[in-house]
Amino acid sequence: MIRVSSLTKSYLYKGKRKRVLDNLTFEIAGDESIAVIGANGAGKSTLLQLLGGIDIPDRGTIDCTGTISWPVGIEGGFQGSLTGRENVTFVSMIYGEKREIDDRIKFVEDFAELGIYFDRPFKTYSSGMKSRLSFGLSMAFPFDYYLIDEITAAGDQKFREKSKRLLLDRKKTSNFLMVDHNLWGLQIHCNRAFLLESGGITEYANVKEAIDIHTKTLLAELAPESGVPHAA
Amino acid sequence: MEGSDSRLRRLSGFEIQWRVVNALVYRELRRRVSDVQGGFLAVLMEPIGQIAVWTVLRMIASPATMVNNLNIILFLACGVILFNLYSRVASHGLTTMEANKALFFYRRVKPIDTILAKAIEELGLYASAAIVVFGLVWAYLYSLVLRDLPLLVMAFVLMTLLAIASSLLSLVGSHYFPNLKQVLSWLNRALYFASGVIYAPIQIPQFARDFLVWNPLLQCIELARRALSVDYQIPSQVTLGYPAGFALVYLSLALWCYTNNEKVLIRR
Repeated sequence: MIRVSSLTKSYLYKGKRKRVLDNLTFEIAGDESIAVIGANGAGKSTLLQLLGGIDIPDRGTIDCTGTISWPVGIEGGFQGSLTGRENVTFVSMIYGEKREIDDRIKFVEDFAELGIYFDRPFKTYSSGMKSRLSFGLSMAFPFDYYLIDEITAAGDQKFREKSKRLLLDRKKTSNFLMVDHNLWGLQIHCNRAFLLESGGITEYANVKEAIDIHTKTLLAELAPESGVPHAA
Repeated sequence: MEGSDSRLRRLSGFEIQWRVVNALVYRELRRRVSDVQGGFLAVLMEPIGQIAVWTVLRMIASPATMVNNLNIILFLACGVILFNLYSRVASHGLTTMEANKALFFYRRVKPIDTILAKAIEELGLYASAAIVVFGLVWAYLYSLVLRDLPLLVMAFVLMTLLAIASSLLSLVGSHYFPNLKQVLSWLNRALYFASGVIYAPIQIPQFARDFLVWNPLLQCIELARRALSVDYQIPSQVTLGYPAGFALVYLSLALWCYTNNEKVLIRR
């Protein structure tokens, strides 16, 4: 279970404080996966980072009884001069039990399918290879909650399909806190939705309903003639 | 994957820190070996190169092979190795937040862990460099020049603790005052000459010596030299108690500063 109380977060922007999240209070039960929906800049990623303990709120508390992942698929934590294997070993030393480190490495190696590149420096990888490695690494550890921010958009068709299957497998034992502009993906994995607007949060028991409302709001903001200019 | 069904175990703060520091030491050592051509040998060559340069310069100035009854290479090795150990760890606090920004996405990794890992890594590397240099000199002289091993070990440990404290204070200080980096880089250079790296404090004028012996880095270096030779004369003010007490108070202050600012440092 995750219990959030009076959560407030602001950032300094051009000398002024901009409040992104304003006094949020909510609970996430132990068997719930949450779709976090909102326009660009609404604070979705900020909320995930606060829940993951990566960022610190200005005010408010977050209590969690389980383990929360780092943002799935993040590539920043990799050391470019180290090989894929060495990078995976590093994270496994932090999150895995000592006796399980080899298993974690094997899991990532099998998922990422990098072949000989697994033993070459990370900086030599293509963007697709980086995505495969980082996603595989995130999924190698059985967290209670996975923070998933826009991951389903990365990689080629095969990788996206493999990722989808792996996520569905993980869904059996874990929960997701998910941000994705691919709204269809949210419906598959989540059973409740938070709609973020103007620093506040509206909770929806039905993900589809939240998506419909969000889509309508976004489209309504488009003036009738403000679409793509017509070609000559 | 074997064991993939078991949930991640919730760990105590100490367990987490132990794992993180271990992993960071592994990462940093692998990085240094892969980044630096020639691997460990190249890393060890840095202090050895400095010792060689100072030895040549001193021999040109005065052809004596002994400084205050201690072999000149052992004398310089103590100064250069211990000071470089301090300097590298202490200055790490200024750059660690920027250099390791991405690592803090792993919530278990805290800024202090990167400093502890750096301290362990540098202590290991410089202790190895000391063993190599002392070994070469002992082999050349056909005699083991070591009077007090525990004192030598204490000198290294105390230097590392002082460096960790400086590093933590630099970490917090540079967050509030970014210009501190420039000031500390100058201070570091001044400390090099105020720590007796290339001269024996007993051989400098009394008024300067009475002032410089307050420097705990100088005391650590002098204790290390004393540990090598009973004939090496140290000022009467140099005792194990002073740098030990200083390190205790300094480290407590640094940890207090850090713990009160950790959240501010992590905040994005």
